[in-house]
Amino acid sequence: MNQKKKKLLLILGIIAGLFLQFISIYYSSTKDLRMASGVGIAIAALLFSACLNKLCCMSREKEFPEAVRQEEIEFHDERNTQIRNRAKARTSDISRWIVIALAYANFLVRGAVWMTLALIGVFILMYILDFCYTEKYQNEM
Amino acid sequence: MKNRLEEIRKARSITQEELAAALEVSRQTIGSLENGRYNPSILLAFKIAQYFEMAIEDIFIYEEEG
Repeated sequence: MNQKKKKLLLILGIIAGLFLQFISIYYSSTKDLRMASGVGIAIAALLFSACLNKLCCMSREKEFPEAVRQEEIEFHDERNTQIRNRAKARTSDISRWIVIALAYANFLVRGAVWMTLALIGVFILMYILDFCYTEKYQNEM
Repeated sequence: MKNRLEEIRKARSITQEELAAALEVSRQTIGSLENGRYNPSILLAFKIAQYFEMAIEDIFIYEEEG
């Protein structure tokens, strides 16, 4: 797809997003359509912002090709990739313990049982995902 | 692992920016390599060796730890 067609499609996406937003807001007061209008507002906001973002990126790419290329190099740079991956891994480790600490705190303050169970479920799910990805990468490498 | 990257680069009057652009990495990566804070992947090591038309072992010196 050439740039002109892409640009036109993105502009159409923005207009469609705005249109859907107005329609959804208009029908939000109707009792039977409240749920549908909520979904509509969310989709419209997503469509509008995604298309606008892509359009801005395209115009920036056209205006500052060197800067965009440098940003791409920085993003794909192996050291930066390693730094990002390390940070993500550490964040995941920390958030796992935060989840279990919250579950314990919720238990101590005699909070809702479903909340404690949900937090424990998230903790276990994180471990399962961890195990699955370890297996996956072990097979791949 | 030690390396002679800075020495070789300076001997050829190449700036860190120029080397980074040629290898398609960030300037910070070149700086970290030169300081010994970062060990490159085998791919980057090959790229560097190819750029300077040298053997990898002439640029990177393997040292056993401990």
